Amino acid sequence: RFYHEKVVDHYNNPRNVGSFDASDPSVGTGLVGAPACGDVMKLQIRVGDDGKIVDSCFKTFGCGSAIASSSVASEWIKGKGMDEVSKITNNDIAKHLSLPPVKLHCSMLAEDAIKAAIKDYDAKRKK
Amino acid sequence: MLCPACKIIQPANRSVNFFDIFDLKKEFELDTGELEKRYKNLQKKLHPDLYSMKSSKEQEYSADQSSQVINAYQVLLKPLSRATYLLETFGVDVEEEGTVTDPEILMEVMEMQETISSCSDSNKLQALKEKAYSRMLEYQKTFAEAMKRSDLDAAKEAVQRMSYFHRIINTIIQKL
Repeated sequence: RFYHEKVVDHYNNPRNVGSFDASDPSVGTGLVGAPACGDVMKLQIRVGDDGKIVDSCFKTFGCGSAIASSSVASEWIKGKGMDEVSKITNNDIAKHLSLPPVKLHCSMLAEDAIKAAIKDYDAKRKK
Repeated sequence: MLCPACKIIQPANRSVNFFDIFDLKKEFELDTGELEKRYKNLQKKLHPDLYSMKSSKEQEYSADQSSQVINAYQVLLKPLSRATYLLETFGVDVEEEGTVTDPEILMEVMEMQETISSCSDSNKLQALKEKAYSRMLEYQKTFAEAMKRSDLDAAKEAVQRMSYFHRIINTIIQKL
């Protein structure tokens, strides 16, 4: 199987692997899964007082493309505001990694993870 | 597969239902011993040696039929592929891209995967494998029950969960 060098890079040197305390009020957790291949992806954001994402981390169990997609997502969202971050699409990620058509659902999963993390943070803020 | 009148081999029917190939009921519960028996009987009739002196068309048809039978057998033999196939025959595509967001199942799967990746104790891994296997059996039961009451959505969800635990079991097997 051929993996684009960017995917291999993220797979071998994933950025921001880890876990935040999900109960921390400044943390938003996005937990998503892909029914087709059994991938699970957890993306977490830590939001600062200015409403910007100060830190992010992820944990993904799945194929190289899924790991790379979540690694890219975790990198891209750092330092950005939530509105800006929700504009990131699976197409952006897929293009960046040159994902083949059969792996496009991995980038979709990363987009869904970002949105889920934001949704979780917003829901916690409302409480 | 053989013409009833002249007993000459026919071309494989591409749209034949796998259960029909083995003359089995189109449901999830299946006696794999019986499936294997019927599979072997069919393969005896289609064995290439029986066709070595026949026309090239007949050789081609028998090879096609044989590979169709092998494929159908492999799909029906394993519960996950059997369930997925059964849903397909009802027009439901389990692999349809729709992100799963149910936190309960995802957290369970995530925790199991985290344990697997940080654990090297083969006894613990074996125990986890058994746990994953029993969860898979639970969802097999859920699937069968959902199909009986024609609840295709519940059936689809059950199959998706089965595939998560199937994935976990494979991960553990690779590690052990």
